[in-house]
Amino acid sequence: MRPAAAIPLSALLFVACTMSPGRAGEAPAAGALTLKVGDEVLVMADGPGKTMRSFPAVGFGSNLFLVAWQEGWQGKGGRSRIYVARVRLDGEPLDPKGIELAPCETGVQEYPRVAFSGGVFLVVWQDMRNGKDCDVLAARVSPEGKVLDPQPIAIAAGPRTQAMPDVAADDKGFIVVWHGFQGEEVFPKVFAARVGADGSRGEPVAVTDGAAPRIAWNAKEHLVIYTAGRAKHWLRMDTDGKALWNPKPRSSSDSIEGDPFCSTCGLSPDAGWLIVCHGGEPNWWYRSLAIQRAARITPEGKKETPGDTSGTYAPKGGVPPENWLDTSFGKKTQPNVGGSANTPSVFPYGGSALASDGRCCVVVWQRYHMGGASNMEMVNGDLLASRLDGWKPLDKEGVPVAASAAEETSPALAGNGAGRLLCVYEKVEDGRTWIVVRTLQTR
Amino acid sequence: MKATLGIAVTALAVAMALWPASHGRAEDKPAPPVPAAADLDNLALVIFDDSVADWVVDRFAGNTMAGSWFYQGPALEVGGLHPNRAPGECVATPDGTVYIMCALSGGSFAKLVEVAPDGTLRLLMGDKGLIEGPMELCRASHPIWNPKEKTLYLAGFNCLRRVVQRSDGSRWVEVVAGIPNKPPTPPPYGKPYVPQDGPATEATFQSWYRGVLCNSRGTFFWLEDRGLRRIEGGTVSSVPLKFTEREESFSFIMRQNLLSLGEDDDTLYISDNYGAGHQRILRCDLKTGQLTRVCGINPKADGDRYKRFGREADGPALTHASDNSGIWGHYDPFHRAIWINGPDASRIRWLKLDGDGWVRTVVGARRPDTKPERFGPRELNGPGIPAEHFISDRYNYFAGTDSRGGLYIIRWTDTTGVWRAYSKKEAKP
Repeated sequence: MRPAAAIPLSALLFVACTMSPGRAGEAPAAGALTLKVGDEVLVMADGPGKTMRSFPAVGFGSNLFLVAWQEGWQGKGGRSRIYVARVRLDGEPLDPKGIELAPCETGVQEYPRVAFSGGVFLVVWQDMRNGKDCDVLAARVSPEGKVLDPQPIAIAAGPRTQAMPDVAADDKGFIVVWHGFQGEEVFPKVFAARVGADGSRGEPVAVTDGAAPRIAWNAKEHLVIYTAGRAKHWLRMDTDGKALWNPKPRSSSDSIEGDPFCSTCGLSPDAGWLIVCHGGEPNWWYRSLAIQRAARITPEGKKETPGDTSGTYAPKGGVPPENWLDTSFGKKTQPNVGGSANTPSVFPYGGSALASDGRCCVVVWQRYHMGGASNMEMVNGDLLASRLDGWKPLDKEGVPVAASAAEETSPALAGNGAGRLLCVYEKVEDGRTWIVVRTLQTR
Repeated sequence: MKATLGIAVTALAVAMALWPASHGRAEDKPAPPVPAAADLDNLALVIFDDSVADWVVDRFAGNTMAGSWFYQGPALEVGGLHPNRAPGECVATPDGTVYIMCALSGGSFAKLVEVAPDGTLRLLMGDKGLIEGPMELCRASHPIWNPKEKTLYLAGFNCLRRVVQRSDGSRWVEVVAGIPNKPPTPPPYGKPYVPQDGPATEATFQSWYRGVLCNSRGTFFWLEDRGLRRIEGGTVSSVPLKFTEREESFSFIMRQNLLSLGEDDDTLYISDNYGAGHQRILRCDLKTGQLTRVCGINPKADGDRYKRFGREADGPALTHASDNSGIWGHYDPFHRAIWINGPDASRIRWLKLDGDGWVRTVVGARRPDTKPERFGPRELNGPGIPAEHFISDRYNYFAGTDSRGGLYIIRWTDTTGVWRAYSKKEAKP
């Protein structure tokens, strides 16, 4: 069954909350604010991907959102393509048939990311058109929906793997980060390259050893979070791709164990950045709790949080730290599985998305229920949201964004800076995946 | 102690005497000397195989530093692989293609990938999609190679599916046995369980979890908590099993892929537990249904039941060899050996069918006189790691074998990929 293109307004979720004074990060304005979730709207009813589409991303600029996603199967024999569609501030799609970004006869295209600067959107993705390894390509899209680079910009197209790109806009244009393998090196490095609003590309520079970078701009510097073996590290970077702070060795305040999926967004030059990550993977006996949790990265690069940002077990003394986003793990909805009395019935594992509403940040995170054939699989993914005052969640229990019996995962989020955000995610029903959006409003 | 020792030595002698009768090629060799009783009484837990210095390990797929996100490309450069940590999860075909089943613990985010002979890793199926239809639109489940048809099958969602190559080159997935997502109906309270056999597409199956495989005749066997099912000629039947020890049922704990092919099409191996926690590997004669223990201590019959209880212990297979938290025994036709491993094992050991009936360590432990070498991430991701240095402070798991003498290994402490061990003297790298 297809997701409903329009849901009665009465289905809107409305949560009122009185803001607490900000202790960390950028303090929201005082007074009663809301987090209101809009209707679920299908971005594209049908397409060449048939039942397969995934990895949505979204950016905001010129008073509209640009949603990008992977249309089609990316595996062997597949032909996934990057599609984009513009979405109005009220959540109404403007391109119901989607726009194919870089038509190509061969290979697959994956993992799009979007940013806006200088009057254009830049979409970056990894492209396996040679059938052997990935390259990082990009194309600009105008607010009118025109693809400005019919021949994609080759950000990194050398031999060996160049993959997992991300893009941010800053006061000079765009900066793209990715990881790649060079020469005979066994391990990847993180690279950065500037791209102008005119499509010009600067020379790539190697930033650090690592992989899978994510980047956020705080109006002064970039924060780049990257995988360093079995941990997440981060560095501060200037607009030319030069690392300003990247300490070695690292202390526990400079890293997160376990290499979880992280989302990040910039606050301000004085407040730094926010990150949200889950606590860990499920283990055999499912004593693991995961728990999405927030932390602030100070302008100096240090992690500020009242509780831990890693670890998979229940909080000491049974009281969850204030930065834990989802404390529903204690609710039992099914018999114990795995032989453990501590088996959780919900499991907040997986991706999250962060964006600023102009005053504070909003996070959308993903959680699962336990079930499936082994009764130990994560099924029925749902999405919850909260506003954040620094690392502090203002909607502690989470506002349901998408919590139907279908699987709703892989959130992406962008804001217009004036209280309106768009959340885009995958919705899986009967083995078919759709890309859908909902607006979030904070004032 | 004397009585215990006597029982142990007697059992060992009986086992030694019976071994050649059930394992043809052993007849050609002189009977191995029975170790002195004093040696058996104080046997070390780790007993190295003579070939241990010949074994090396290559990184086969994945990269420790490439991150948690999965992507495709050269097998040694991909991230996010997360192979399942159990035997049978790497399925090698005669042409050199290796299928790897991946998922997080518990089965979430399952995906099936393929490493081609040229070293390119591609995604075949993901965790979302259909049960039947074009392969790229279908959900992944556990891979099984049918050597007779030279075809990939998939076990999972309570059914067996076949991947059909169409004339236009596309691949289609279709159900050949079982009813998708319909497990067997539980018996009424107090009534015995009766498997729902019959026409293949009307029969019901438990989850594939305990193990499913296919022999050279194209017959499938599906192990369940309460028995063994056979799928042959479009019909499902239950194999009548005869336990030869007091425990007349399986006592599986939460372990998967407990079923292995044997040295011929009438033999299987089943990994089981005694209820008390002792481990055993049973040889299943499919002609008679008889189950015979070939490895693991019978706590009710053989020796001091607690002496090597819960230990990763080498030694005479029937009286001294043990493991903890379950055991896996999988047959390797290239080496004519049963690889022995378990969920808590850090070493990979074998029981050579043509040998002296002892379990010995091959990979994952260093002999006392071997000088330690640096073993960091760079070494772990390179070729030619001496197997003695391929040590994990947690667990090394075997995941499959290939026809060139390779043994696929997965590490608990580094879930980013797969390694391949082989003997420099015997196998092809």
